[in-house]
Amino acid sequence: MNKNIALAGNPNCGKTTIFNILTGLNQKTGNYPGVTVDKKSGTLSHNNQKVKISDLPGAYSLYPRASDEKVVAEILANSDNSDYPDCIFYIADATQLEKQLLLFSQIVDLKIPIILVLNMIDLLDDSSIDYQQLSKKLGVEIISVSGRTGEGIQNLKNKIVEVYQNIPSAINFSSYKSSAEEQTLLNEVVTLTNAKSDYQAKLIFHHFSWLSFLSTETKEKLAKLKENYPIPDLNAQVDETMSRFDTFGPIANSIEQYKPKNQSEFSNQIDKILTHFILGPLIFFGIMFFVFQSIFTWATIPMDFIDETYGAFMDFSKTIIPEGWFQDLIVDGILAGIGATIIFVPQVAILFFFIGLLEEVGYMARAVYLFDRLMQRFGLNGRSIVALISGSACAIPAIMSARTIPDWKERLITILVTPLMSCTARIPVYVVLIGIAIPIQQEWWGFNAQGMAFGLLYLLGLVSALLLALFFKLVLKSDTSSYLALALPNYQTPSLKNIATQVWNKVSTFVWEAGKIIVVISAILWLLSSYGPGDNMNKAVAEASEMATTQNLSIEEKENLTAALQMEYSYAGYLGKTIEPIIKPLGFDWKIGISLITSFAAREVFVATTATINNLGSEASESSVIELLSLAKDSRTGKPTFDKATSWSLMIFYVFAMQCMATLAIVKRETNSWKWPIVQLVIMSVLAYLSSFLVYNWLS
Amino acid sequence: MRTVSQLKPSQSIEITNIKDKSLAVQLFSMGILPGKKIKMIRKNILNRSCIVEVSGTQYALRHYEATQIEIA
Repeated sequence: MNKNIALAGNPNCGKTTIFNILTGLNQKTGNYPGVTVDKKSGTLSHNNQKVKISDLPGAYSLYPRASDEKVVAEILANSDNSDYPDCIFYIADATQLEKQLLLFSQIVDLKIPIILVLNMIDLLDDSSIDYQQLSKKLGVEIISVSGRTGEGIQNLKNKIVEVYQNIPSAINFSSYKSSAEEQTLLNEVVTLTNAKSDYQAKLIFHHFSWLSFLSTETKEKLAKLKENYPIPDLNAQVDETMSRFDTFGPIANSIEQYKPKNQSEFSNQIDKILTHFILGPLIFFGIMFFVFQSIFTWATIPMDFIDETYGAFMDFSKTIIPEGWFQDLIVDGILAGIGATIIFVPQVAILFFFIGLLEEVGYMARAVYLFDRLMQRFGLNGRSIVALISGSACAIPAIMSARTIPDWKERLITILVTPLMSCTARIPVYVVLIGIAIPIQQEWWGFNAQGMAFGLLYLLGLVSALLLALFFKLVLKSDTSSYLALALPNYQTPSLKNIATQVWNKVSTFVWEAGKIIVVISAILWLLSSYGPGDNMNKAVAEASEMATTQNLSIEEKENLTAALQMEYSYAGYLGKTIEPIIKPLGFDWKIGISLITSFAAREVFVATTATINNLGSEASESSVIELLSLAKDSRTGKPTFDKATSWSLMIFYVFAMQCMATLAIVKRETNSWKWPIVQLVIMSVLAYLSSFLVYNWLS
Repeated sequence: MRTVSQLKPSQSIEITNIKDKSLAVQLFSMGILPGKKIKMIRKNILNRSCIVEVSGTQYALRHYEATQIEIA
């Protein structure tokens, strides 16, 4: 039989470090059903025994406020939940024992077998804390460890294996007694719901409105019961919590005569500067600028390397797979899609290295504190600012970083607005279009006009992200009231192992989860742009060679012409022509329509497609594209394709449009449904369409 | 009744009550509860938030939260 061993504990108790030490890289990160909270499980291999361990999200109590805490309550309120633990190893920070006993005492009341693991014992001034005494008073077995120094970890591993083979019985430590009236109520709830303990019945009764495992029928019965027992919810909770503290408080305090090493004075000194109302934000932006630079600049080194090696690999694949549609599908369809996924790996890895570092050191909580009020106004969280700034390098890792935001609504809004920040993929598009729309020597108020236009587009992205956030803040409902009351952990030296594990988890999640979707979309786009109805592709070749002979074109010109005609006769070409009436009001012709379709793969594809369809070949440099596109004319009307109005309209279009399949894929993964990526796609497309329409009509 | 929002930096005093009950449940679970000493560490004059210390842990509080924590 498979037994569930789980780690539980408060946030900041060092649980993740312990989990990483126990399971190493044998970890799996998934989602709990219906919510986007990391579900982490892993395998401990010890003494020839393999034990599956799950790491429950950090929680302060079973009366939850954030989605992470709700997950814990949801699991523990339902004995039939597949994640319901057979035994819990409760991790507690030994230097902060008292308040951590709250959740502990609640779990004890659920009659779940429990072992108390006192962590961070290296921070205690005197290691002669009387564990036996504490163990006797609480009636629980205690293991003392330090995740930092590795002290006691062997004991912990032995214990886990022992417990796995022979689950101990639940302990008896009563810190709360229900009143007689409450007891009658709980008895009724037990019969209604088959709760395994009185306290589980109490949790169900408190939380039934949002507990997903209860049937509607049961919920209705519970609601009726609630009318008959008007126990004031909040006061009952307050009383319960006070009663618990009254019981274990003295016990914890009798132990805590050995005060922790005074580390907070050091933290205090640093905080004087880092949380200063002026210096704090300045330093934060300095750090963020550095992080941004590293995704922006440093990541290009490994990205270019991947690009080249992968390109060589694709060329090599072409030599071993016989030519034909199968080769095209494998190389240009599927392998290209895989390439489009792994190209993001450096950016994801670098951003999560820095985020991991800042979290580990303890700085992130300070950043949240500094920007809490500002971001709150826009329905965002202090942590959203990290996502928004990273989003101006690349939306993919930025959206993944939103997972650290505890409140679901704030996290969702962050995810929804981050792609509006102008990312690096927009740069080639902006460069070409600005190059066409604005002469290089033009100045606005004494500044180079091209540079100003660039800045304007970035600013537009930022402002619209904040405005959209405001919109969502008003529209989306939230069932949790947002309180800050944020614990600021002491600064500490980071564990590189923890950071490396996190980076590894994020990268593999991205590659496997988002990769699947990217490969499928990439294959579809390939199909659309390389095949056409009937015999079209051959017709394109024949027509091109005929034109080449009559017009006396060079070999290169002929190749470019062939590519352009093939593009025109492909499904994508037909689609481009089909949508022409729709995009006409924006100043776009069918050629631009094709580019819009193909650049759904990634925005920068716009440049290559536009070059191809205008007979320039896909490898043309940006400057030659700019030069030649400014001359491009509509074959029917003779008007320039890229006049000023059209170029500006396109630029604005790319500020808003969700032209990135990888973003769509990661939003699907992070919100755990297709609903939000589709909502996002629709909103961004509508925004893009309307603003392009306005700009085009204003300028023409 | 005085509240934490009126404390000056480095003043330390006992918590007597938390007015907003739904906030109380959250603060209790984090270890901020009546009977504990609360010390003002720092105030942010720009956004009126503050950092306080209870039993050796520091917490960032919004202005509203600080006004809900009554002190002796």
